[in-house]
Amino acid sequence: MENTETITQICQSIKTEISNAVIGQTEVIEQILVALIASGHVLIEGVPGLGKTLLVQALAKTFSGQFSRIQFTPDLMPSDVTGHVLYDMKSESFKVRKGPVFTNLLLADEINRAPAKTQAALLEVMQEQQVTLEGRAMPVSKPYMVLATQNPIEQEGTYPLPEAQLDRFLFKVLIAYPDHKEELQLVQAITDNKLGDKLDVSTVTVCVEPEMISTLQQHSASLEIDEKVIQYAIDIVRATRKWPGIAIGSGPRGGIALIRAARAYAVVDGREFITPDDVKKITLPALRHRIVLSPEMELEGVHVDRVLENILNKIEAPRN
Amino acid sequence: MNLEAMTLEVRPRNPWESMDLAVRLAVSHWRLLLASWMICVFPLFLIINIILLNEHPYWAFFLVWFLKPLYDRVPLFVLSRVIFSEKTSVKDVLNAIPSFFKTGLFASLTLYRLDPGRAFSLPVRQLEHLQGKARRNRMNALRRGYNNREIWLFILCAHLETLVSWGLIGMILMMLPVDMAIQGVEAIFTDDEPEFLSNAVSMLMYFSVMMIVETLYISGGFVLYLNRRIILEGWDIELVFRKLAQRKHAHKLQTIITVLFCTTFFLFASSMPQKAQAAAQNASSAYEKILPPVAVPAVSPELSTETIKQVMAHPAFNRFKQVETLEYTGEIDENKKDLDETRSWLSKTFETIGKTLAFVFEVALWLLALTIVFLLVKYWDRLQLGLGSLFKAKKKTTEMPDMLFGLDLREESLPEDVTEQALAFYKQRDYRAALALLYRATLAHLVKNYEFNLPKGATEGDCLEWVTEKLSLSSEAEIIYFIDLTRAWQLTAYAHQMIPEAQMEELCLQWSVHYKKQANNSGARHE
Repeated sequence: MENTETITQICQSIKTEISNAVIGQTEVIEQILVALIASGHVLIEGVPGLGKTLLVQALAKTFSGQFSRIQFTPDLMPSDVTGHVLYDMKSESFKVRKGPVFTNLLLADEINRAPAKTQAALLEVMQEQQVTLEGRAMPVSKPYMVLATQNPIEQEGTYPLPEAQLDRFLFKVLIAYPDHKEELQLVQAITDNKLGDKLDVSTVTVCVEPEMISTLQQHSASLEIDEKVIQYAIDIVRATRKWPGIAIGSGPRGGIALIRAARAYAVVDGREFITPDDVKKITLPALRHRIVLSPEMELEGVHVDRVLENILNKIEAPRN
Repeated sequence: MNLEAMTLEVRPRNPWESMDLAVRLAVSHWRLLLASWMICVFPLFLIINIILLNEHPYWAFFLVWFLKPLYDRVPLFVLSRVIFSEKTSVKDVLNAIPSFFKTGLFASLTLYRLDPGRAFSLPVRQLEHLQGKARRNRMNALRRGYNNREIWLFILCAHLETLVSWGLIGMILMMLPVDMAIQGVEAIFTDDEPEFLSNAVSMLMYFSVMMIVETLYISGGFVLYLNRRIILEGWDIELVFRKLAQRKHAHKLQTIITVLFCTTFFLFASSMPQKAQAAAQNASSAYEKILPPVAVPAVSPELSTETIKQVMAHPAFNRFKQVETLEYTGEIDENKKDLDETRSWLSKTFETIGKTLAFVFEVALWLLALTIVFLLVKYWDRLQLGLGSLFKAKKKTTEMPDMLFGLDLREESLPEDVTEQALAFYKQRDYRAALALLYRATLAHLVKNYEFNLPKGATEGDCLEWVTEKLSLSSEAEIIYFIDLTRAWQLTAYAHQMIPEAQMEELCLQWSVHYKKQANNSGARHE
């Protein structure tokens, strides 16, 4: 096991390398790194053209991991995602053709454009970390992470993910437009001596091997955590179930996600223990997709983050 | 006043008939009315729109609507002249514009802006030039027993204006391609600012509709006003008398009687609506030219009473004869008494029902008020959430709280010597209690000395951020101490690691340096 200082350096170098390719979006980069270390999957919501694919490619390159992308469309079949078995005339036997899910980082672009059965095929892989073809279970590579994206503005002809399936994502990350300075840097960097608008991750160098990511994940899972911090996370999750303005609160998976993510956040922050601050920091991405606001709140246009912030302000943090 | 010159037949009319007549009047003079409106009002409309339409379209609309009482002066001026066959031109209207501003315009645009009966009261302001109490008395006299028909006129015209405006917008939308029309309708229900061109078209349509409907409204109010004066002052009777006088002037006796009648009538009229006459006498020259007051001899009430007595003493008025006739009044009804009793019972029953209903409504209103208070208390959190930005500014408090995010911050809850107690805990190997006490005591002092604005759920990180912000300009040493203390506390509480004794002693020593003096001072004050 590496010491804390080395781990902090590794996390910092991964963040720095990603930042070389993805300009701005510091918070998003940090949240995705936390999700990777927590062995979770991420649902990214944002308008097109904000660098989601670039971010995933850059992350894959930092640990020399494999990267695949599936563009979800209404006619996409489950076998297009998981793979299928073909009869080979030459060898007179069945051969398995693995789908794009057999990778380290999978970008499921516009996941809500595919019908429910295709979404379910992917979500099964996310949960089980293996694909069953012709009765044979085939595990996916490790580390494994799915980054699904959805567009918040074009809802026509989409199949919104059901609540139960949303619950399987560790984080829902909101990716916003870059600020003025970041956008200036971005346009300069992309147009300077570059042909076309192909994504460029040549500036990203490999920091660690995929095994190191698995080690980090192990390290995160083994960190010591005080019972009061767990209690704090549970208090937050339970508060969502009876909070005015929330129709459906988070299930127990919300509490599990909070603690898993808080552990990973502590690792990224260079600590060997988890504080209530870690829980608080990751509450918004970890819970925003697990609660359903009441119709009145929806009509008033109150964002789910505001409700969660309100809960965080009211739930007492442990202090003695 | 030359009543013979009036272009309408002078006779008492039903108010609805008067409104019909007003429409005919406006239609028969539409060229002059619309020309005056375009020349006097349209430039003002243009100026408002040039200044405001692009940046503040809603303000432009509001201002155009708000200035309606100013525009109303134009059609009334025209109508008050044409009705007495006065030759009027647009030039006369233009010359009269300065006089419009002396006709109680300020009151019309402020206190009486939302008066629905302004078309009916406008002639009193503009033609009789009455203001204040005199105007109110005059309006009371005109409105007495008239059932506020001018309000119905207003309701009719307001609906007409709305319907025609929306009808025009609908018609234009129907003629547009479907996509453009949908966007136009969406813009009405969303926050999107409509485009300048559509704003300009909408304003022009509104102006056109307003020009026509407002003219009808003012015309209606004016004819209602004239009708009321015809009834109150008997203009029709006067005309009849004048015709009689002309026809019979050769006959001496009849002439005398006619004159006597006329005098009697005028005296009678003068004694009845005294206030109205007083107002009429105060009327300005402009009004006298257009609508001169009734030619009443200057007599006092006492003298007129005496004159009436003299006239009534004439033998022509004292020929009495008693005539007896039989009249069938029906059979004597035995049930009439029962009927009266039933009526009385019904009346009492309805009164009781009315009182009961009033009581029930009163109780229901109280219950409603209590429910609103209850809901406000119950859903205060949600309300705050919805109106967060409004409440944020008001939520600051400078009073020191007793409890803060689960910590008891009262001075009496802290031991007399915090550091000694903390070290004692440490030596008993209760490291968590030792650092918890030190952390709590430090926060208690910081919260007491600086304005508190942290929420209930503030974590160590939030406290650290707050302390760094509050003390950034005053005490860097305190900030460093608080950072060290927070780290030590987090390590003990969450990592379950013991801090070295030397570090603990150093923390206690630093605590004494920063806060012990304050604690002592406070203790002395307390004593």
